[in-house]
Amino acid sequence: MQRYVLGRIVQLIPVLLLVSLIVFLIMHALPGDPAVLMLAGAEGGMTSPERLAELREQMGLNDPLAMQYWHFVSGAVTGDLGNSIRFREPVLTMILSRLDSTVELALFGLLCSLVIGVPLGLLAAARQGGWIDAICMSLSYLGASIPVYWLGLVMIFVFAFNLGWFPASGGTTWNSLVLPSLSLGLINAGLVARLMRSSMIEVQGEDYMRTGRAKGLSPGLLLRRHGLKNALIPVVTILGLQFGNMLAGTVVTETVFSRPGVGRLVVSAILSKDYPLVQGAVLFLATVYVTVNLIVDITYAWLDPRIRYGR
Amino acid sequence: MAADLAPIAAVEAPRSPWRQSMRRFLAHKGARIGLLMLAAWLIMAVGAPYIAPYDPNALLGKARLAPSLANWFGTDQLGRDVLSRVIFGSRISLTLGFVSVFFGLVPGVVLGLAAGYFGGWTDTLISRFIDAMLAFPSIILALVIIATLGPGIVNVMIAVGISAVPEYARLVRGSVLSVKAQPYVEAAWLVGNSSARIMFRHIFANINGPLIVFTTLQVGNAILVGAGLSFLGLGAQPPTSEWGLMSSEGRQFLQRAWWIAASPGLAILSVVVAFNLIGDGLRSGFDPKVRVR
Repeated sequence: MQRYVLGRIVQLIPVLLLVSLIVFLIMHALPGDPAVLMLAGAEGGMTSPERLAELREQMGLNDPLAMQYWHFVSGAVTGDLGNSIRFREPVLTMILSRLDSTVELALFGLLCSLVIGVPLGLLAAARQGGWIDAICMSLSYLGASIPVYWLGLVMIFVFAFNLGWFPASGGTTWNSLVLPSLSLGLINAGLVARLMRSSMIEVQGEDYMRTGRAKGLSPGLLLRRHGLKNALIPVVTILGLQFGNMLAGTVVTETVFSRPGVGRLVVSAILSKDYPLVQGAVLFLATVYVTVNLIVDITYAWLDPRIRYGR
Repeated sequence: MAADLAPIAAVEAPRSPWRQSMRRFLAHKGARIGLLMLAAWLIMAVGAPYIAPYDPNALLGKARLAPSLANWFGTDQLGRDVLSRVIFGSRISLTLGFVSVFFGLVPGVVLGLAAGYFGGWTDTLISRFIDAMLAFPSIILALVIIATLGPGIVNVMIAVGISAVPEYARLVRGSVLSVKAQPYVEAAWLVGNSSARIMFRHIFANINGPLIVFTTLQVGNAILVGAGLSFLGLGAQPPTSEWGLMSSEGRQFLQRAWWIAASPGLAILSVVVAFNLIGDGLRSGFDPKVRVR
C-alpha cells in the first residue's frame, strides 16, 4: 500500500509541471503587456517610457520565456505566486483568505449530492421500474440539463424571497451555505444516483452475494457488508470528478449567491485583466483538483485490494 | 425495447450496421421526443424574425410587465419582449453548441487517432499532455482561455471547444486501441495503405459510434457552459439576446419580475434536455448491449 501511494505521488510531479507550463504558456500568449496594465491601473495611466522599462525589468518581463517560466515554477513551489496587479497583494494570500469559503461550499455540495444520490440510487435499484426509479432518472436528466446559475436563482426565489427560510446571498452563517450547496448538490445528485443504481444492480448478481445468501447471512447484513461496500467503489471513483464539478460549479455559484470565494476571485480577476492573479489562482485550483483525485485513487486502492496488487 | 426489436431484425434481410443503429435509435422513445424538441428549436432559431412577435431590441414602453396575452413571457427591465428575446437567443445558443463542439472535436480526434495508432513516444507525449489538460476542471480551462482571448461570445465558443479537446482525445485514443489489433486493420496495412488512410478510412469509420454519442451530449454541455460564462459577464455583451446574459440581467429584478431571469433558463433546460435525450437514444442505437432503462 505504501509503495502504491508513493508511486502515485511521484507520478503527480510531471503532471503538475505540465499543468504549470500550460497555464504559463496560455497566459503569456496574451496580447496585453502586464507592465502597461499595472501602470494604467495603479498610477492613473501616467505611463512614461522610463517607468515602464523600469517596471518591466522589475517584473522580469525582459527575461527569456524559459527564464520567466523557471521563476514562476520555482516561486510556485515555495508558495510565491507573485502579486496581484490590481490589489498589490500576494496572490497566495488572497487565495488562502478565500479558500475556506470555497472548500466549505464544494464539500457541502458534495455531501448534498451523496446524501440525496446514494439512498435514491439504492432505492431505485431495489425497485427497478418503480416510481423512485423514475424520479432517479428524471433527476439525472435535470441535473445534466439545468444551468447551475439558474437553479441557484430558482432556489433564491423560492426559499429566500417567498419562504424566507434562508438568506438570498452573502453571509457567513451556516444557513447562508444551505442554498448554494443544495444547488450544487442537486446538479450532481442525479449522476450519483444513476451510478449507485447500476452498480448495486450489478453487484447483486455477483457470485459472492449468492455465496452469502447460500450460507445464510441475513439480507440486511449481506447488503451492508458485501453489497454496499462493493457497490460503492464506482461511486467513490467518480468522487474526484464530482469534486472537480463542485470546484468548477463554485465559480458560478459564488457569483449567484455573492459568496467571497476563489471562484469569484478568478472571474473578477479575468474581468479586470489581473493576469498574475488569474495565473496563480488557476494553478492553485488545478493543483487542488489533481491532489483530490490522487486521494480518491488511494481510497479506491484501499477499498479494492485488486488495484494495489494488480499489474 | 431491445427485446421487441429482435424479431424484426431476424425477419428482415441483413442490413448495414449503420442502418441497424439508426433503426434502434429511432425506436427509442426518448430520442424521438428529443428530436422533436430540437426540431422545434431549430425552426425557431432559423425563423426567428418571422416567429418572434416583436423586435428583440425594441423598447415597448412598459418595463417589467408580467406575462400576459400581449407579452407571453412579460417584458424585461428595459421594456423589451422577453419571448422575442428568448426566440432570438436560440440562434446564439445553438450556434455556440455546434461551433464549439467543432473546435473540440477536430483537434481531439486528430490527437486521439495519432496517439492510439502510432503508440510509442507519440502516444506518451500526447497522453501526458491530455493528462495535464484533464487536470483542469473543464470550466476552469475555459476560463483560462477566455482570460487570454478576452470576453466575448466567439471567444466563449473557442474556449468551450478547446476545453473539451482532452476528453475527445482520450475517448478516441481508447477506441483506437480497442480496434487496432483487429484483423481488418492488419489487412489494410498489408495491402499497403498509408497510415493516414488506415487511420481515417479504416479505424475512424469503426469507432465513430461512441464519438457521435459523446458529441451529441457535448453540444448540450457546451450550451450550458457557454450560457454560464455569459451569465458571469465573460461571454455575450449587452444588448445581445443571449440566454445566460438575460438571466444575469434579470437577476436583480428576481423578486418582483421573476420572468426575466426564469424564461431564458427554461429555454436552455429544454434545449439541453433535447440533446441529452438524443444522445442517450444514440447510445442505445450504437451499442445494442446497453439496455433501454
